[in-house]
Amino acid sequence: MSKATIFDIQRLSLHDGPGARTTVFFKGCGLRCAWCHNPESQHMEPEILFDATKCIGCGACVGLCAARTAGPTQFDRTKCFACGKCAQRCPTGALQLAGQRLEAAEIAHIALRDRQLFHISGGGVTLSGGEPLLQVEAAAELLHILRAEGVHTAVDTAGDVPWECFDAVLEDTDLFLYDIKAMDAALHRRVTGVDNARILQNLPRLLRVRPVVVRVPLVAKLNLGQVKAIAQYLSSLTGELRVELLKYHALGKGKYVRLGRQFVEYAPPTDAQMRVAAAEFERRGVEVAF
Amino acid sequence: MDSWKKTAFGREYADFRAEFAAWYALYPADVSAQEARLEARLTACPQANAFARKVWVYEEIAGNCPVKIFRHYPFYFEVVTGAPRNLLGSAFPPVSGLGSWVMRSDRSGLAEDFEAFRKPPMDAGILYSTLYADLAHNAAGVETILNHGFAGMRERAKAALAAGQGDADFLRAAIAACDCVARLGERFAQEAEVMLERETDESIRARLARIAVSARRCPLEGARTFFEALNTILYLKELGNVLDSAGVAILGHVDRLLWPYLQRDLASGEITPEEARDLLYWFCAFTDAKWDLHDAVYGTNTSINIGGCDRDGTPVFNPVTEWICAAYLDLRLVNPKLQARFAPGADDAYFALIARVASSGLNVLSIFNDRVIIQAQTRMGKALEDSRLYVNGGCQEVLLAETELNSRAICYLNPARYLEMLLLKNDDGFFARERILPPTLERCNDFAEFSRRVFRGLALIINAIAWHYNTFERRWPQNNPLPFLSATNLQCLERGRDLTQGGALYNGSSFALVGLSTFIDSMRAIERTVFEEKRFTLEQLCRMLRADFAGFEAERAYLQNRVDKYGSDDDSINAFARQMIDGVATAMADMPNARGGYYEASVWSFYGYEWMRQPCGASANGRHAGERLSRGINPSESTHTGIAAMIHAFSALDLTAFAQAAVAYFTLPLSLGKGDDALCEHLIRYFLEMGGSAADFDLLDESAIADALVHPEAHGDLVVRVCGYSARFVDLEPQMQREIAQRYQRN
Repeated sequence: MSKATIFDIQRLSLHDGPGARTTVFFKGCGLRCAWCHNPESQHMEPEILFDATKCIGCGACVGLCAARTAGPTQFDRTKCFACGKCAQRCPTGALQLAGQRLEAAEIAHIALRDRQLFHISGGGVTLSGGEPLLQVEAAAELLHILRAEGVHTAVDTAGDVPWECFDAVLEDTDLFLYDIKAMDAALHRRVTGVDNARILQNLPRLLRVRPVVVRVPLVAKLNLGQVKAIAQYLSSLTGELRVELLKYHALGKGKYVRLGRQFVEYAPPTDAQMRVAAAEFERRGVEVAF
Repeated sequence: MDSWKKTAFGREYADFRAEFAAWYALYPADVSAQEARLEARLTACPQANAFARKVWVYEEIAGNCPVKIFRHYPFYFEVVTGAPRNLLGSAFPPVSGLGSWVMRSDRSGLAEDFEAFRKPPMDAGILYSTLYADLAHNAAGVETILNHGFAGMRERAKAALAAGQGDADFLRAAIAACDCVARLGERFAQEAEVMLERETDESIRARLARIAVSARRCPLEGARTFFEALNTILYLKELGNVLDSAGVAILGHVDRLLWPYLQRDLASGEITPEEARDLLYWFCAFTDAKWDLHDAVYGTNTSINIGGCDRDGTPVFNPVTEWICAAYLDLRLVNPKLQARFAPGADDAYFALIARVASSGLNVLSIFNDRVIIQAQTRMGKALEDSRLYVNGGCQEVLLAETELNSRAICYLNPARYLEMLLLKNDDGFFARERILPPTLERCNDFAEFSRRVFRGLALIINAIAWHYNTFERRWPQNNPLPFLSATNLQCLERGRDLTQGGALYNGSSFALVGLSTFIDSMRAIERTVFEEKRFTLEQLCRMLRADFAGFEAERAYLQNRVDKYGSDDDSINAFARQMIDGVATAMADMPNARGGYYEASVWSFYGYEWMRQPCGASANGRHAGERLSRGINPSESTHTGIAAMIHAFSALDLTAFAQAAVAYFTLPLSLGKGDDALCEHLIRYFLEMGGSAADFDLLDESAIADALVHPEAHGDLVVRVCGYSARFVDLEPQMQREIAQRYQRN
């Protein structure tokens, strides 16, 4: 039995594949996208989120560890090892542990609660993150359980993993959601922290064996200029492919604050810019939605 | 999209609305002369009982109240009796008009007695009641009259009288009611003939000519045509209210009833599909035009049932169903409410149609799961064939068409308050007044024992309340008997008993329930913290509750955030909720009422969760005193969960224990539903499969609501689902507006 570190399971998810779905969020990601709205997904290790607005200063967490010696509302993050004891004690939920180690079977048990809704809506379960393929063993086991139960499966990936990771889950994955953020390698490194070579190598190979929904997050001043190049690239590929354009939003701001991290807000593209971007794909015969 | 505007109906729609608005703006009409004659008869015969006085009312209305036919409306229905424009029936105290004169002339002191009974427990938040018996959510025996007409019912009443069956006073009043209908029919016909003499518009002349013929025979005789059937259904609702002040809110299961007439008329060429569709549009728009929707205190009382199944269990879905839904989508009707039943095997096209209505943001829709609701009726001893003919109204309350008088929505109960009373003994004298020796909750060995004592307490409290309503119900026949409505019911005439005397085949009663999840979560919190974790003693917990958690914020936060809650859909809490819900249903049901029937369990809230929150002290689930109580079968307001979890949790419950339905209130962002009929369809199907009972749809446009709070003048057409009824947002009380605006955040 394999265990995965996950940070959320979201039911009635409507934007992570066909139908009504349950999305399992794996913790840990190789990319550091500037616009990431799930900052708690990035590190593989559990982390403490601290919401000062919920803290009532009851002191239940004080003295449990070195990070909590200064006083009830004080939190020295540099000394926190995310053991989770404080979150367990916190009565208000001001302290929360992002990252739970669960066996694949336990995750499946929760994810399968809505199996009839999947059946009704043509939905299923999506493994997202973070990067689910960084925990490929548990991901593969989870997908296998789900497929054995007759549930449609999808994997939402950034693609920056060895091909072997895809190989390990291919058999039990019906659909891949695959992010392309930029074609320009330097730009890609600047806005995601990694090179895009492996991502661009894996995608054509994946398309040969599975349908893929390519998701392109668009941030006005970061990668909007990449749309044409992405559309050209995707139109050159063969396989069952369609594109979803994801408009940037700042809904993750609160989580950055709770993680004690700096939040940088970007401007979302306008509706007109989204339409222009979509037209780039349409004119090249690539199915696109936004 | 606006093709309806090019139809004959569409071309006349604005004139119709204007004519209604101008006429009803003058209501209530002056009937002081008629009322003076009734008073004179009472002075001359002060010993006359309520049935005899009803006869006088019928005679006065038949002979001396004007009838009104509208030029721009095809149906006849309006008898001017001094009733208010928005006529729910006779609420407490009685409304104006001759129909409630019998109630007003009751010198027995019932009104005073009812007020004296209800005030102390209402002030103490133990109940909320505006009716001593149900005079607001009834239905006429529509199918019976469509088949037999009042002439046939008169013959039955006469035969029963001759045979000495039952109460002669009732039977004489029922005969008088039938005679009244006959006389009114003649007068409508004469009025149409008078109007014809000066009418020059050919299409209106054709309508008046049709009324001149039909009014003489319908509803005196059974309906022959689609037009007569439609007019009969609409007219019965109005007559029930103006003659008996009976609160006829339910038009009926109209697609099932009307389709045979329409089929016949289309086949014979009596009517074209376009004419039939126009008539249905007129029919659906009736109460929307008649009612002043700016008077939103009780919102929209009328309802139409569609879908479901027929007496044999065959799903109902036909062109009438489709046209009714089209009328709602085209006209964006607020009143009546649309009650969509779903039978096993319902057509895929029906699902798609109702999903479209749901996702349109019309917010007038409730859905009902036949599988659960019909079984709930048979559990109460009702025949399967009769149970299949259930209808719903004023909100989701269940009533078996043609065979039942069920006194519902008369009183709201709050189990969270009862738990508080048992824990803290802060009952404001209720226990002493009711001679209840409440079980003590101290020194229980375990939670099972604690739970048994709580449910014993609940049963004692609810029984005591029921005893009062039974007492008032015994006085109902002398306060406001319903001979007209009873004359639409075959069993009443066979038994010679009025509906208020238990004349119907089925005679249920039901209290409504608010705060169910507040109660469940509080019980869970006690189980966890007092009995399992031993974090607090019961005494300590009581101290916190008495103090409304002042000085115990950490403990309150723990109770609210760290104890699992109903609605989170964990196996353990689901099993616990099942036990609690079964216990509450048992405590609410099976007490005998005064009409030979039994109380039935229900979970729906109307606006009771808001009315009753203030006097309800702090709850063990961490709820502060005065904070909101849960609605219907929904999780508590502070529980963070999603709609999928909420629906899935139903699969662990047995909602067939609630014969009067267990209502879920779905609040969704309008943007979810906009253009996404599929999502609404999936949720409806999931709800049905998981064993949900009834659900109310409210799609909120967050930005529109926020703007309406600041610029109400720009949002006159913004309709929201308050709780079982719909209303224009800008007409609601500020407190209601704020509560609705906050729902989006909570959901």
